[in-house]
Amino acid sequence: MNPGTIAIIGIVLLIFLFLLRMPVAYVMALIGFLGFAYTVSVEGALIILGKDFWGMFSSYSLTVVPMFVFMGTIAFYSGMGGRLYHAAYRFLGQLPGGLAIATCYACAAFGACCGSTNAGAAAMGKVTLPEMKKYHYDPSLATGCVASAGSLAILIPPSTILIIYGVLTEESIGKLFAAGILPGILLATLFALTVYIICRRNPELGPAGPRFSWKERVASLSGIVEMLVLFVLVMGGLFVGWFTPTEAGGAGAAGAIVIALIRRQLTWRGFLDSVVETTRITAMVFLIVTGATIFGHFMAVTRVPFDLSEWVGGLGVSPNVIMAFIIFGYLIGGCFMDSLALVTLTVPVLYPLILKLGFDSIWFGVIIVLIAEMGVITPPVGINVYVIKGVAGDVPLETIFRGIFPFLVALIICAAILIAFPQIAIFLPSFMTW
Amino acid sequence: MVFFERVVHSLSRICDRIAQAAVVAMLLLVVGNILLRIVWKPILGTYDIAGFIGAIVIAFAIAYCALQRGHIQVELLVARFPVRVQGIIDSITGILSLGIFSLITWQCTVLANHIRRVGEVSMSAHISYYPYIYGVAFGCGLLCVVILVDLIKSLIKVMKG
Repeated sequence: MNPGTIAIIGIVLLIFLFLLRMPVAYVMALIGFLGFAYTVSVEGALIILGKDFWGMFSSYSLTVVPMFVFMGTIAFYSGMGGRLYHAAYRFLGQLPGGLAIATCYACAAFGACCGSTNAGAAAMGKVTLPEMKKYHYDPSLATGCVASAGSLAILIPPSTILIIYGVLTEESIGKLFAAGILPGILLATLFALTVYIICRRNPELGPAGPRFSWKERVASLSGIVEMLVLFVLVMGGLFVGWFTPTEAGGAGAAGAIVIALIRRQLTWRGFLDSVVETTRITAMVFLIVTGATIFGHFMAVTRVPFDLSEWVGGLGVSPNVIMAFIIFGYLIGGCFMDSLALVTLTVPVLYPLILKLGFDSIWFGVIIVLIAEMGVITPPVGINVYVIKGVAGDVPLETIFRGIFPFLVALIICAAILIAFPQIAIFLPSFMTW
Repeated sequence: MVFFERVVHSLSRICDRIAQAAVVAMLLLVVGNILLRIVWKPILGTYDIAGFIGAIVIAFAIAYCALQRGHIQVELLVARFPVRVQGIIDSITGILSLGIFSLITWQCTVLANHIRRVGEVSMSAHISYYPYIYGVAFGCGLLCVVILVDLIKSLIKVMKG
């Protein structure tokens, strides 16, 4: 049997076992091991198991994950999201759909302290949905808005998906973080515009809230200042080369703890819960990345990623058309599979193709995140929708999914803008010379 | 079975507490290194030590994460099947999971034995790191036990119909 056939059998088995509810990380390790054993040798495959598990678990470059996750969980448990929302609400609440517009920007700001889409949606959902309910916002608009905008947490740095992409492709995590900033602001604005257009057409869906005095508005800015301090500390340190990504995450987590303690917003219980959450998320992420690494070894020995890039490169089709197919494929895959799993599984296979087609690898990281954002809100797997359902128990799932649709269109428009103008993503990283 | 499950649950939870302490230790090390680098000199071997602490965080957390159903899986299809069919499918995937993690545990132990025998030390801190590899082997072994508990429960589900 030639290696290509073995790879295809491996991929089919992989999908079959996914569908049988076997954890994705276990399946990737199993198929990777079996495929490598069949293609190379059993001894080699056994050695890879031990070396990869030890190598990935003890990798310094991966210690960035628990540090940034810790920063996000502290921001979550210390109620930082609430303060950001109240600031945005005081400035934008009086507009038609103003509470939902404030939600979009508050989610973007919370994304600057937190890299997990679930935490973003849960933190902001708890704060924003009761307010929107109070002002009789349409439940579909309110829940769809917060579920979608919650996903901004993985585009605006720090971002778990960008970290994993960086580790898998050996790209600079600092550059990837910098690349996410402008597209994040663009997407938040597109989400806000979506709300504005919806509420201009039908003002009953998002009635205007009260107007606040400038005194109240200025007073609310302290909620934004703490986010800015953290963001400047983390991104500034990375940007000028003071910190490694792990150090930036550590400084961010320590900064979040100090801010929460000064504000007396972090209880001992909250601190313990944030550590518990950190170990849970970190274990999940590491196991899946390690599984993907073993599977990646199998793919590499079959040469499928390189043959695929040669084959597609020889088709003579425009790279943008191929990119459109890749995005469409991700969109479909994202409907059935968790975004993190999808990224870890596909990036090692597609990365050589992306380079061969002449796309910028940093830019592709941002595109991958945008697609992951689509994946977390599209049915039937859309995890953010279930998170919001958990917060707003009285709103049926169908209503939330209906509310998602306009924001999904905004995400697709954002992806199209980034394909047409890749400079939006690669402008800031171009200033980083290291 | 209930007693065995309770013991496994408690042990996984204790290990997760160790992982939690390790996260805090990692934070203190990383931040301490930044501060000391500014005011005096960096902590020697921070990269090595942070990596080893990271290994302890993951190894001691994966079993409890599995207990809490924290590892990503695709629920779409199997959840629609009758309970008995779900039990059969979970038993098959449980055996496969147990198989691969038994191999991983074994290979991590083999690697740790080898590093201990040759006396290899870390690059910058110059410390023996084989105990951490044993830690990873232990964590994977504990995950095997968690998978075994789930497997037994699935088999009981199949038997009882």
